[in-house]
Amino acid sequence: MQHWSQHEKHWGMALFGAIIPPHPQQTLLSFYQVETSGFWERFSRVAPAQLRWGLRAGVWIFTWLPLFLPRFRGRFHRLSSEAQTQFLYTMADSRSFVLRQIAVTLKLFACFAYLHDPIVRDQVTRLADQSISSAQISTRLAPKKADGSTPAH
Amino acid sequence: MYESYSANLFDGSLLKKTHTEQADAVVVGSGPGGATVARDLAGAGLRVVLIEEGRLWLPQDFPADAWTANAELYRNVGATLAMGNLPIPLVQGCAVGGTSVINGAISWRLPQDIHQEWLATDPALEQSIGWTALSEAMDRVESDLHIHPTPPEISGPNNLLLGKGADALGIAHRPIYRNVKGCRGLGRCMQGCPEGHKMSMDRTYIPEALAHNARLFYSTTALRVLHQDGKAQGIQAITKAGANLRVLAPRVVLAAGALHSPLLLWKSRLRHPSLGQGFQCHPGVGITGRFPNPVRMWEGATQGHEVIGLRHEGIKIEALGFDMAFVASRLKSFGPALTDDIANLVFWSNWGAAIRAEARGSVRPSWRGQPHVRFSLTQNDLFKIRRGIRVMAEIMLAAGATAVYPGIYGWHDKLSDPAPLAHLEQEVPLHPKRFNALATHLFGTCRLGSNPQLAVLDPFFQSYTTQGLFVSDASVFPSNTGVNPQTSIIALAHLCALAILQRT
Repeated sequence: MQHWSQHEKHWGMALFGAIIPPHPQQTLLSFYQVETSGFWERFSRVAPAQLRWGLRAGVWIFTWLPLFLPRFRGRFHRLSSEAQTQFLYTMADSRSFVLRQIAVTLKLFACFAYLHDPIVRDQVTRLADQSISSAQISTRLAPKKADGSTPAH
Repeated sequence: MYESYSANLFDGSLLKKTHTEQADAVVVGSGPGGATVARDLAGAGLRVVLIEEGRLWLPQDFPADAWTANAELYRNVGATLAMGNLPIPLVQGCAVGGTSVINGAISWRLPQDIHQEWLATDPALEQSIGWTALSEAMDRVESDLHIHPTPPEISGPNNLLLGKGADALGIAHRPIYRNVKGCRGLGRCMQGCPEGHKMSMDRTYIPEALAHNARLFYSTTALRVLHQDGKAQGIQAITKAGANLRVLAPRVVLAAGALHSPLLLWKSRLRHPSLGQGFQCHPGVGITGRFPNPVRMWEGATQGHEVIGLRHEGIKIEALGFDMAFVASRLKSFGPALTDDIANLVFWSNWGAAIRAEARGSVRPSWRGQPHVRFSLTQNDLFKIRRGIRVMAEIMLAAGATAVYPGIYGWHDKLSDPAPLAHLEQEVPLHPKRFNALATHLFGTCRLGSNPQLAVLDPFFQSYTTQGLFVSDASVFPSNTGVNPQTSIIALAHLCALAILQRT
């Protein structure tokens, strides 16, 4: 987003923020709270031109398209959060392959940017730690020896 | 590991002055094909220069997250597309060690039935890549790279569940044979092993080549093959800092992969009617599923278990332990449901089916000088994709998944029982854009063969048009293999090095 206009940044953040909105129990940071400047700096530096322009075009299309759809009648960032989610599902299930791919690509980059933040990764891992440990699961699933015991760790 | 060889290492991002090197052989690309040839030739006493476009990474510097890895270790951020009836991203590494740095360390011997197919098409290949010589080379690879089956204690639940489900359905499966040593199952194969336990080329053959006085120029891009009067003379390259590098050598070995080796020949005006033709790959499709107990897909061996019972149908199913960002992006949900899924990411699993596609495409230079790949799946390929998804979903449900997301457009988003799968073939037509695929393992764009009209290289890996010019990567394969090709690439590269030593 480094070379995007202020409008484009605003639209992009609205889209990414709607793809990963704040968690109701606030167990995770919201997309808006995540530090993404490093992510976008690297994106600008290394992403091939077709990907940079493709993502930008996707942001434009998904920002303006709902304005022309009777069910929504507004630019994406002006829609209610419920309508935004509904629009994203509609696009992901669209008959148009291009619109489906835009939805997939925006979600991919939302997830990349969101889970690029070490704090979020740590939060997801800690949520995982509250459940059974990986070693316990492995032990449960490991093939049994003839005597019923599991292979030694 | 590399400290001892600093005199033989040249970082192209620091080389700002025009430089000329004299060598006996120059190798372009440090992946499995290039590193092997460089090591064998250097070991035989030749002065070898190895050129690599990517940078040299030390294990402790490998990134932890998927995005940084994609951006820094993958060619074109993993966004090179094969264009055809379904746009398919093509995954390749770009680092010292090539794709061996970012693959799942899966090591398959070339199946003998595939080798027989090759020889049935062109019996003359027996003289250069006969089964006995190839088998011996593969034995050597397995020993050199410490290839062995993944032990259950480091598999992690994602892999073990695949075995459990396949067992329940009576489908043949096994732990994946991998080139690792001391692996602790950190789930980071695709971001580069942070402990250096993957026996990738940067940890094995490249240091050995350097020990035999090979010189490695990394962050340096080969521009074209130098040649005159039908003889190879070297490589013209440019460093990342912008300096020209000219390596003069009577033996030139291209090992830049099935997209960039033909591209270099095109750019060098070494054209051939078959150059870039016959491109093949293994398109892969994935499904996700949710289990009642934690899976922690990003822990354990990245790819530690596989279903082999469908290989003869051209389908191979593998557990695929992605980084959490990839896992999240592959979920069906958006908005609050996606946030909730991310909070419960620990319960999700992902597996993939690689297809031995029969389709053949082509590689040509685009107007920007990048590879332009044309590739369209055939009806048979789509049939295999659909069948692969069905079997994966059945296995996942048999393994105890509470919900499976098959990822087919216009069909059930979510399956909680296997009943709808019985109607998959009737309800899902073989239309390419109903599926999402990405492809690994790229083959066949500079094929070996005895017919100079149909093959770019003679059976001994040498160009038909240019003496002293060899190719040693998967682009020489007569066809795709249906299995992970790293072991085959390295084995053929050993035979290529032997041919170079015997014939030049």
